[in-house]
Amino acid sequence: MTIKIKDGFVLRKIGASYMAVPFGARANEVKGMISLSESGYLLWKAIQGGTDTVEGLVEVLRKEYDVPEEIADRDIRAFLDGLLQQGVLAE
Amino acid sequence: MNDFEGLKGLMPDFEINLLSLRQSAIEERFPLSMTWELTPYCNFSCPMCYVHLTPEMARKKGTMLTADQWLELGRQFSEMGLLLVNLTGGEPLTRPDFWEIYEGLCRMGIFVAVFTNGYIVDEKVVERFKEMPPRFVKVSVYGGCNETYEKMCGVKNGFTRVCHALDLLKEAGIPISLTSTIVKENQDDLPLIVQMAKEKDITIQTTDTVMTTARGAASDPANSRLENTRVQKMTLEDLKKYRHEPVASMLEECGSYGRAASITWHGHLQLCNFFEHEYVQVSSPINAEELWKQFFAVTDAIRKPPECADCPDAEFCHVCPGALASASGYADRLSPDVCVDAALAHKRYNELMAAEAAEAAEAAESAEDAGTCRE
Repeated sequence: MTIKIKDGFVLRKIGASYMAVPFGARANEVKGMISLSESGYLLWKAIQGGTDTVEGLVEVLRKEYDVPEEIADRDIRAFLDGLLQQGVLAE
Repeated sequence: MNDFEGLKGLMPDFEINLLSLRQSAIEERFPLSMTWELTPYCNFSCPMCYVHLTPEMARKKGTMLTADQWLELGRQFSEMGLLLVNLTGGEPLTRPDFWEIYEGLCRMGIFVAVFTNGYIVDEKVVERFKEMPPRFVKVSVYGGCNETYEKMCGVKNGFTRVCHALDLLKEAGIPISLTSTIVKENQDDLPLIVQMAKEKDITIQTTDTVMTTARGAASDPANSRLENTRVQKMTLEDLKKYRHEPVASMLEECGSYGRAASITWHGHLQLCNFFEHEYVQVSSPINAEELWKQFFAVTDAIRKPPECADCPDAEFCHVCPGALASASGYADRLSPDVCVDAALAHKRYNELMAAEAAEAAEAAESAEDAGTCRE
């Protein structure tokens, strides 16, 4: 599976909060903002930067966080499922 | 290497709490929200407006910021935390480059609200809003019929056109709210205005608070505003809540201080739109970090007027620097106009307290009499 975030989101850090703000047509699909944790922000940024596999994201996450590979893999898949359900990921 | 916060922290949350963002903006002093007055020009000429200028007046006061400057401000302030921008005027939609500014800000991940009189909101405008939805559109309503619009704003078919605009916006699913300032010229229309809002199922806020125009607008609010009856309508309970410890700084009465600001059409970065003298001038090249620092230096220097120190009505005073600026031209200079409410509230509070005490004494006396009878 190739992972890609749909166009129309701006990733932002405001104060201590991380979020993705939809604009244009995307704002009609996703109301309000998507709040992210620091690691969620990191992954989103990596996906927007071209990392398009779970393996690649596991590597990104493990470079920053002390987390076993299997936990990172499981959590990233859950994160991607969440984004897919909300219509954030391009199918 | 950082500790991993686990699945719960990683999962996206599709709601974000603006209140907590406001709190952190105040604590960290970043510009979460701003009101940008894009133009002093308007297609209406309302008697109570504090912004509207003629081209000649505007030329004497300054130069309008360009679209590039507004967008650069958006870019730099968004890096500092700017999330909410209200675009207002004058009538912001009269700017030929309105869409360039509006859409540019939306693309930066800023939630943009548009304040308009609705008169030039037609099918084309609504189509653009559909393509790039605003956070909301706030429409000022000036009357409940075309005659009042003509008398008050100097435009033909105003009510019909604004109603049509509201229908279009509603049909397009654009969030709308209405606001209406009630003055002498439209006071008889209040029931019609409220009825229209009700029929269209749109929230409306009405106010009869009209500030004077220290900013030198081409209008005459002092003659237009209604007699202030707000305090006279307050109950004793209201007044008990209204009473407070006198504030050390008038900035405590400001809802924007610390997290919000305004930028006028000529680039005055200031605490609120009513200010005339306490501002930092935006100029190119724009350095938002420096502007924000200077803005706080100017704002924090606003002191309580010395006359307030021994004011007997201080516990009933809710005057903010914006009200002072509006009345006297300066955010720290007193004008007798702004002291009226506190004096009235204090007087009414004392009268109502005395009436309550008399009533209680009478009740106690009656009870005593009844007790004596039983004995």
